[in-house]
Amino acid sequence: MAKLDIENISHAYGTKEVIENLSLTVEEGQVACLLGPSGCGKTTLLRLVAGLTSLQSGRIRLDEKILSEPVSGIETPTEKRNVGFMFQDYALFPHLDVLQNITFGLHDPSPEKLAEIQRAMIQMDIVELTDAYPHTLSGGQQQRVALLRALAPLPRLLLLDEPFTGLDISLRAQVREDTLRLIKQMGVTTLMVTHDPQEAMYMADHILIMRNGKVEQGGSPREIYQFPATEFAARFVGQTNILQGIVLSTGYDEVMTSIGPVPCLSMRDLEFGTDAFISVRPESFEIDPNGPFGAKICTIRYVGQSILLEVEIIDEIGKGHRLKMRVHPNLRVDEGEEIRFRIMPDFVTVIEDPLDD
Amino acid sequence: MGSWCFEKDSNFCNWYGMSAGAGFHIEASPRLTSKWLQLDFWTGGALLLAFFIALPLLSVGFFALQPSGDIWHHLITTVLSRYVLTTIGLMLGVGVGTLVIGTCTAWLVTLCQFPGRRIFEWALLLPLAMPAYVVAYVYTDVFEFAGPVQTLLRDIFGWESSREYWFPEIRSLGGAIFVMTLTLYPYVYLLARVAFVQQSVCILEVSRTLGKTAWQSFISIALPSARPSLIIGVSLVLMEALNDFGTVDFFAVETLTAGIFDVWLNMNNLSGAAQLAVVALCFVLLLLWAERKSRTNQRYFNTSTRYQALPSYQLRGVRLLGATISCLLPIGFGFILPSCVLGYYAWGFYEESISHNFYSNLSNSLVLSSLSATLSVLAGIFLAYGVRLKENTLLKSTARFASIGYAVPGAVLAVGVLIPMGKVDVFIQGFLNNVFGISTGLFFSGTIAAVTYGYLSRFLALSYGTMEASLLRITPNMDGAARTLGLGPGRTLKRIHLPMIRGGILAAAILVFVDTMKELPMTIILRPFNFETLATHVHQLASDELLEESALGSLSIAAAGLLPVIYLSRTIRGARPGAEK
Amino acid sequence: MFAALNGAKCTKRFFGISMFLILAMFAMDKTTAIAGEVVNLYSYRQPFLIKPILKAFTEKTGIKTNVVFAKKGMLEKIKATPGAADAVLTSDVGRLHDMDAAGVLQPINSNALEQNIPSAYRHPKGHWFGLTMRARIIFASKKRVNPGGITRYEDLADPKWKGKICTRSGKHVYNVSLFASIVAHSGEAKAKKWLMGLKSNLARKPGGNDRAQAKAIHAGECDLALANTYYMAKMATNKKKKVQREWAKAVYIVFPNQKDRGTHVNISGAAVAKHAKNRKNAVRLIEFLSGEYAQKLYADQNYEYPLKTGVTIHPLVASWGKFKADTINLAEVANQRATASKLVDQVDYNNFRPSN
Repeated sequence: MAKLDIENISHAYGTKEVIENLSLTVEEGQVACLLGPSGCGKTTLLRLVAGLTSLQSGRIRLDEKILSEPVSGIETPTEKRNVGFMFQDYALFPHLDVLQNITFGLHDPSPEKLAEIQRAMIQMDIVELTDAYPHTLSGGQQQRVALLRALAPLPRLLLLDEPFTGLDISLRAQVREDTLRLIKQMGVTTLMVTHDPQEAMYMADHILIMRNGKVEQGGSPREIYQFPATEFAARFVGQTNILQGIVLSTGYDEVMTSIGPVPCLSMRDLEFGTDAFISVRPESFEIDPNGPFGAKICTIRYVGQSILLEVEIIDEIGKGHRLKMRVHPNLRVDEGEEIRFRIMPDFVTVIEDPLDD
Repeated sequence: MGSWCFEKDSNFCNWYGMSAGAGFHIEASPRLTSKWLQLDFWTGGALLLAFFIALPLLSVGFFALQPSGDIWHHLITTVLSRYVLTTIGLMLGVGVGTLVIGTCTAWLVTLCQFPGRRIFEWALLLPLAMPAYVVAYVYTDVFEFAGPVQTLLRDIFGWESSREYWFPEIRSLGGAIFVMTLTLYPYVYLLARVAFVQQSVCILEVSRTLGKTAWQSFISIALPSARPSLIIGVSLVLMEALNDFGTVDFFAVETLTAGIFDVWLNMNNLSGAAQLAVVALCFVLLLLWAERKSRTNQRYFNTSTRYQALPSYQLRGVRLLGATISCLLPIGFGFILPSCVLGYYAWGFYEESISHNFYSNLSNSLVLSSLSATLSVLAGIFLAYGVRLKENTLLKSTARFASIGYAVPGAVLAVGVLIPMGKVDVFIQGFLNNVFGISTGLFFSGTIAAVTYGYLSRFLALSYGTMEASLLRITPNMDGAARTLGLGPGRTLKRIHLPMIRGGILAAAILVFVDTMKELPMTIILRPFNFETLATHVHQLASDELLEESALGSLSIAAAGLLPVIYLSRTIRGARPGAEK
Repeated sequence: MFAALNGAKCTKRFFGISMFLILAMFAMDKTTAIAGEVVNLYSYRQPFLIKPILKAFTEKTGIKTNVVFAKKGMLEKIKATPGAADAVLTSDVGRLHDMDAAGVLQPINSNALEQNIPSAYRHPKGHWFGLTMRARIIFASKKRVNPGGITRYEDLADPKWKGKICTRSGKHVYNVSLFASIVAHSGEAKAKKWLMGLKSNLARKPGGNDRAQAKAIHAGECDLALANTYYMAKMATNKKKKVQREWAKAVYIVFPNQKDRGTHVNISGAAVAKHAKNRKNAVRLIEFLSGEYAQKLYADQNYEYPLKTGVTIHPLVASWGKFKADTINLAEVANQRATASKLVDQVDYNNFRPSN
């Protein structure tokens, strides 16, 4: 397995810049996930790594081996990179059966290798489809064939392009679990792209939030969720409340907002008196009759594992602020009811100034 | 990720812009570092090949650059406007005619259920095997004043002269449109059928659920989505109509092509003729440009990977009758009637027609046609794959340019072949003579190499067009998958593309085969000494007004095209992914 | 090409087939393999017309003949592949003239040819030689045209024949040649006027071949037509096609302009190519073609008028009577072909529409 280094790469189609000076690293055996909305350059990045699109500037390395570096004229052909690629549409070869598809990348597979593949097929529950042709398979089956095909030649790096988007919701969880288990079992370094934060959180050791051709924030799923660096990152991986305030004191870790002082776990070393925006996750709120904050419930959404409330809180100058909060499903409240609560600092973080757009 | 960021770029539209564009180009690295010479084996090789095939066209262009005297003054003051109008009329008539017949019959046999459908499926292709000039001879015999139809009418009604009644004149623009429509509509039928067979049912069903009738769905959904194929079909037809000389000459219809020959042969002005040929080519280019303009941002990848059986509408009553007649008419007039007339002649003149070298003529025809089909398809694959591998504007435009040879009259293109080939021959001859003291014959122009080269240059449109359209139906991710699994471009072509476009390869090979069987002007000019094919044999007799004696030869041409054509039809039915083979 | 084949790494089968076909291509080449005395011919005349004569030539001299027949592109082929052809056979003086003008012919000094062919029918410097002659005559309906009813080409423009004349395309080489002779005799302006008159007398849009004109007269579509002499004979003697004999029976031949310049004639001829590799053999062939034996064959099989004096013409052809041929130098006529062809455009000859 190998470590992938992407250094300062840029890519444009015509005049449209799709990737701008982007760098990232995927550690050996790690599952990294590029998360971002459609059209942000994620797929292009995968294609650049695979060599399916030639790099315009920057450098891509797999361990010490340079895959692409336009400056020195290096552009290893795709077929010599030893990367596995699973396409969003799976791209199964329609004229080959399942086993032929899976063994496509192997030259004269040994009996042991075939046995190994057979075991993987059993594990992925597609062993009875050996002789079937792709068009007779369901989406989930196709996905698993495509995954095994990409993994069969034991690639040093696995690239997954939206691996689960084509699947029914009901199938997804299972396929996701199977896929992850197989990848981890093989220990292959993996870079996947998705626009689904749930999927990214579930699969990835390391998440990279991409926006407009740049990495907005990278980190473990916990870091990303607990300490989003920007409003975009915060909103992309879940719901949040953005509040503006002034840093009260680095010692107390509180931000004075218009609704009052909010405790904050990550101050990003801002100094006393600085203007700051904070992201307050809906999980930060705790119902407490003695809490410092009071608000009126506007809407109630019961979703099983929790209740999502939208409340209105009136600040000092009488202006209303809407807050989203997630509370325990046991709570029985009605719309219009007044509640009191406090804010826990664990899911509150200072973010960069939100953009105007 | 429904759409790629750069999918909207209209530059990706390939092949005169008539087919859907390939979104991605899979790089065929490694390559030279120089920015100017980013030519790997595939791009460079394809570029060379395209140039080689375009050479005859270039030499026609070279002639056009020579001074041609006052010919344009004469043409402009007298016939040019009529040539142009007649040509437009012919192209319009034949274009609309073949489009209507080809599309409707393809739709009927693909999506409707009625007795005889399975037979119509292949029978509708039969007129493809009939040379247009032969059909022109036959219909003149049948429909002219002295022919059986008018004679019968006169006998019945007691008319004496042609002034007493009206009967359409077969030797006219209308007659030419009639004959060409009948012999050329199979191109449109073929491509429309392939498109209908391969289309996703889903979009049709969506249309039905949105409250459209079957007919409305056809008009608003099936037709537009089959548009790239229809366009290719119609442009092949138009190019054929444009380059035809046999039919228009026989009917004395003054198209640009007739004018080209007049200027060339009667006024002994080759450069003037070449200039007219360039004007004719402008027609094609204009047409293709207009078509491209009209659909800049559309693209046509297959969206669904899953297929269900095509729905089929059971026809009854008037509709059944209408469908049957619609399919019967083109077959009847395009194939059955001409073959019956020819059969009748051949029967009566068997001894005269079965010359002692009939079999050698037949084998010459078959060998030439197979050779031409094989080489054209190989060249078509190489070029189309080269274009697919890397976006290279020069390569693409050269390949595109090389394939408009189809629109040039055969005899003119043949002269274009003669020049470079003669030069090479003279060079080789001189070289061998000087260095080794050997005096040889003319290496290329003395063998069937010349005529084969001519066919390659003429029929590239058929093979390249079909290959490119077939390749476009394969998502670029297939290439990507194969490449990431360790296959180079060559092995990817062999293991992925070739098996997947087998149907297209076969279709292209058969089209070229059948067209070569019929091909006349190039064969005549470029063949070596003492070399006869069925077509030249037919021509030889027909040019001495011995239609009856040539009938057997004409029938043999049709018969030789018959089996491949039927086979072709069967492969289309199997072209639907998951169809029963 | 071969690089392309290799590079495509197409399946071995594909490659094998192509190799086979390419080998077949050379195997089928019948000319280069055979050594010995040969003469290579480019012919505008159909092989079956000249085959018996060429066969006799080979039998007599041991020289093998290689022929390729085409009606278009010969000149360009001779130019592009010098040395490929030794001699050219044409069915029309115009082609000989064009080739001579293009400088692809060479002069021949041959006593035999000069003796056999009258000087009016060969190039003054021996660039080409006529072999046979045919006349462009008028077919007249036996039923509807009295003998003596038409005597001159010029009469064809007489309004009394309105709607009564059929011709093939005005652009056909036979008609262009006739029109060129009118231009040569009467000048462009008169010729144009005549052509307009002829056009307005047409019964139908020009088209079909010479036989078809007789067919049209037989069917009553028109009364007069232009045709070459030998077609009459070919129809009249057609064993198998009874209808053609009937067409022939419906018409009689008028040799026009007997009282003045004579009937327009054209020749079939031969010439030696400039870069001929087998020049001697080519000359021998042309001499043979002008000789008694070949001339008799031309006369008997194709019903043409032999140019060698003393060779008997076919009895059927003889039965039409002797005629006075236009003695104008054929090269002069050939010179006017482009003009004639342009006149056809100017009067819009082929675009005739019958007006009821």
